[in-house]
Amino acid sequence: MIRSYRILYSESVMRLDVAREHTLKIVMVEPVANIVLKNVVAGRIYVFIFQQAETTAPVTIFNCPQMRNVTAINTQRGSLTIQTFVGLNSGELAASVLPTYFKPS
Amino acid sequence: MGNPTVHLHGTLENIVTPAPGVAAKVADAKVRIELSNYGPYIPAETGTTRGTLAKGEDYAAMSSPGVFDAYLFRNDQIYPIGTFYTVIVEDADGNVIQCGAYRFNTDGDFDLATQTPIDAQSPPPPLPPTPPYSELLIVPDASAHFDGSVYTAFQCTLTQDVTWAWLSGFIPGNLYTFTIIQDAVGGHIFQWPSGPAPFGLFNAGEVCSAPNSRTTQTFVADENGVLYAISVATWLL
Repeated sequence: MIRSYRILYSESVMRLDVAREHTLKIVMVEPVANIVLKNVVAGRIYVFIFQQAETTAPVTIFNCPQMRNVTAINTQRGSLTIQTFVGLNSGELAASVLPTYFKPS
Repeated sequence: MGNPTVHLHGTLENIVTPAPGVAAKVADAKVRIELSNYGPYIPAETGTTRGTLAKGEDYAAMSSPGVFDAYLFRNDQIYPIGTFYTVIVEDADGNVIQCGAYRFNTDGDFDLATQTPIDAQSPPPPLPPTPPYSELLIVPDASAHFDGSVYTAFQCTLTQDVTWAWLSGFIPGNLYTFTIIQDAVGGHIFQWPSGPAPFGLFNAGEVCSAPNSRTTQTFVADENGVLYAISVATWLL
């Protein structure tokens, strides 16, 4: 068993089919007005790594109605926010722990 | 970061083969060049800051109608290995009228009309190793080695200070859990692993020093096997 890992670049509207996803890294290059999640697997642990780009202005707009209990992502340039979720029967993701942050020096 | 050293240019009339009976509208056509086959990594020029190449979808500059110019990085100087460029010609309506995959491993000027496309369906690179969801018991002396290509959980009972621990083999996307147990004496120091780059570990919690205590923390492996805690550590006294 291995968890999948994929890197995406943020877009205004993102449609993510997470049937085969486990860990997703989203490099924040554009504000995210809406993320639509499809095929959430109930009970699966999903890890999202949100990385602010080093070379562009930090993204402060992030919206995903299907992500419940999300704490704000770090908006420092180059920072990482690691947020873990569990998939729900409703097709939503619930944050299972508080996020962690990391800012490379 | 260096400058791109591949100058790709062409005249679309020399490249596009219209379907029978269809007039190719090359004068209004555009050329899109996408870096391809970099898999789950941010492509970068080898040896430079990561994430500096990336997004394709840029249209090559049309120096005059039907004539394009593009400046690209050599594929053999891009991390990860195995990338190629997909060159897509779109007509004025956005319909793809020609598409091909090309790889450039030398500097120079290249006329697309004289280039031979590669087979983009060649076998992908081998998959990384697959560690089982199982716990590895580590008996440390003053040092300890955590190999993420073997197991996804590690348990370590401290009978003395561990002042030097190192990491290897961590696979991007996987979750790794460390459980550090103090023996009946307790008070042993555990220095979280900080292996040679790129195998770092960040946001590690403090290991409880109480006798027989258990400290558990889970990390996710990012690119290059770097580990980030997904939450604070927990303690069982």
